[in-house]
Amino acid sequence: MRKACLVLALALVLFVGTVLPSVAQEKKEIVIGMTLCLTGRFAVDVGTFDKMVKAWENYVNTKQGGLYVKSLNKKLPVRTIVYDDKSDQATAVRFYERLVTVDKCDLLIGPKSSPITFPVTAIPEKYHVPMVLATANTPAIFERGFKWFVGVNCLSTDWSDAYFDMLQKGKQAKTVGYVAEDTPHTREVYEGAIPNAEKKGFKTLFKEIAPAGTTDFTSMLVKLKAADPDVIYVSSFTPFGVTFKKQAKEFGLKPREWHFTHFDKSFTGALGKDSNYVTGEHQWLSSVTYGNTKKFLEILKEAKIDPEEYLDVSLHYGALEVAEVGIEKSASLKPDDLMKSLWAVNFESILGPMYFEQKKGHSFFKQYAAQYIDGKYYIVYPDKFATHKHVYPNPAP
Amino acid sequence: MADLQIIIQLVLAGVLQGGTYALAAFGLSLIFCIADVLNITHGEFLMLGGLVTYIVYAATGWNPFLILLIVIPLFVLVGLIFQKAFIKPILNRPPRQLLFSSIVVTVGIATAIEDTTSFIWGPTVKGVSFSMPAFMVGGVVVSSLRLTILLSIIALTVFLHFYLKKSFMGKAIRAILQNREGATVIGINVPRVVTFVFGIAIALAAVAGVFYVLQFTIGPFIGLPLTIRYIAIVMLGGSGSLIGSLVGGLILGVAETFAGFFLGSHWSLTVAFFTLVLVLLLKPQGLFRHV
Repeated sequence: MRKACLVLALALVLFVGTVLPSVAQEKKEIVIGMTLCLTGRFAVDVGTFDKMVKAWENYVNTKQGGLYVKSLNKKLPVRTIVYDDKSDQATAVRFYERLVTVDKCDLLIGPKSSPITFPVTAIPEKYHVPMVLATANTPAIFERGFKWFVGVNCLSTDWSDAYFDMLQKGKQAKTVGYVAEDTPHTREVYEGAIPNAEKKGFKTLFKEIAPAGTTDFTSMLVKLKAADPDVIYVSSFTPFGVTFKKQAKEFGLKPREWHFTHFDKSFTGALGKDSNYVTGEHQWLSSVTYGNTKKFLEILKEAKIDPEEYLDVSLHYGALEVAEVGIEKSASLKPDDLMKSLWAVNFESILGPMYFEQKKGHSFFKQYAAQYIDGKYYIVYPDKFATHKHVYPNPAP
Repeated sequence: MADLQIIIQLVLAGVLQGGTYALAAFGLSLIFCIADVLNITHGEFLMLGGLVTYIVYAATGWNPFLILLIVIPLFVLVGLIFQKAFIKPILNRPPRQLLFSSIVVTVGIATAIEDTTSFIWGPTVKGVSFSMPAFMVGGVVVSSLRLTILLSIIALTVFLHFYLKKSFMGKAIRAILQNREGATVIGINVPRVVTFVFGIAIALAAVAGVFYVLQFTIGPFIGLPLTIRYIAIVMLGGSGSLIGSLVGGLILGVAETFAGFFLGSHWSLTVAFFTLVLVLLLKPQGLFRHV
């Protein structure tokens, strides 16, 4: 009798130890976590992207019935968790650690910006949780041989490739003067643009980096006026770019073309008619017809986000698209399977063909060359999506 | 000749730049001297002055210099309310405690203003697309906008100078700056003067905000870094001194511009703040004394 009781107890223990956990572990939802710079210095570029993420979650769950999980042979609903990292590296790292250890996320989406993303990428590497980076594009992030993330953005050093391709094709501009705001991103864009342009035959007449927050550009403007380049290329964020352009106008500087690497609606709004015919880069405009734009526009509408005001929204959405495809093509939701699936992703996203460099993990997405003409943004290159001919030289007085 | 033109160009740019620095710094300096309060919120009022200008300009298209007529009385009122609601309750503390309390209180209010502004008007930067044609004098380009701003600042400084010298309230302010207890003994209503000074100082910050948004962009989070720069100018010029703020601002502006040209833009701030340290080593009380 005692023996029988022992066997029964042992069987019970085995049952509790093996069968029950597998029942308890049966997934009921897919948890995707991220932080966003909802406050702090990068909030200016992020706005209310948390609403976009929730609108995407809502769309996937209500209109698609969730995401298909091969190993379960059914769709599971998605639950997103978004924390505000306050544009602070340490806060972001803390939250990503929490997303993995407490919230038990199946997949992570990267935060805004390279400086915040850089330390954060140590978390997926440490815990072996897959991650899709959104806006991060500094080459240093992708050159560390990390295996647990892929990123949807192009490298910052390739930022203006399309623009210089267009100038080369147009054969009008010959010389360029470069100005950069000293932040990691804008400096990398500038450092990438100069050799790329020189390789394409453009002569560099001036180049200088100014600290972020510079409010007087007289010294640069004096030198630029003497150099008289065809194109003045400014790699900066909006406040720096607006101040530079305003002072350049007051100084009477009139190059044949102005190029600003970041020229969102706050830039053109602050400059008014002085931003007419300025060129710059855009990640997405409604004339781009790659991927499921209908779904993207619906989500933007629900989140009340204008992509011309918040340029990075397409990159954050692109990361969610990659997550969707990666999950649905993965053998299971196990981290190894999911990461393997993310590395193998190859589809047409709203950003264009999306696949990753197999050692570093960055995508081959290219920014579009755009021009602001009479109150509207137009893609001027590549020709496939161009909605306006590139106007050169700048006819604005 | 070309070299001389460049030097003149740089001096002019530095002076024009320094003028805006000076205006906001004076209000900060005045509050510090009269009330022993370090008003960390000062940069936020500059931002709010710029924001009001942006809103009115976007709605009406008025000349931004006309908008000053709305901004000045509005922010005198804001200053009076700010003092009554947040500063008055801590004014009776012992000096050191008052200084620390004022920093804590004003940092809290600054954060609240930043977050509220960001929530209501959004975090994106805003600017006023107003420009005036530049003109040339002997090969030197002069920005009409920045020159007009500088002339407005000089006019305001002259007005304030005479106001402080001639009016009863101005004399009362100077009396408190010289000897607070003495001023009380001769019947000056010190709390009333302190409240009034807040009105003036906050309005000056807001006026600086009007000029700021005409030249640069404003965003909800520009206030604190600006306050730090203005504190440096106050230290350089000597606290409580109108002329000191003006000279301090001009020195900082010219040093930044020259360093930018000869050493590269990277050195602008370093040289400017090195100048500050040098002046403070030679004259620890700053260049000028009270009003």
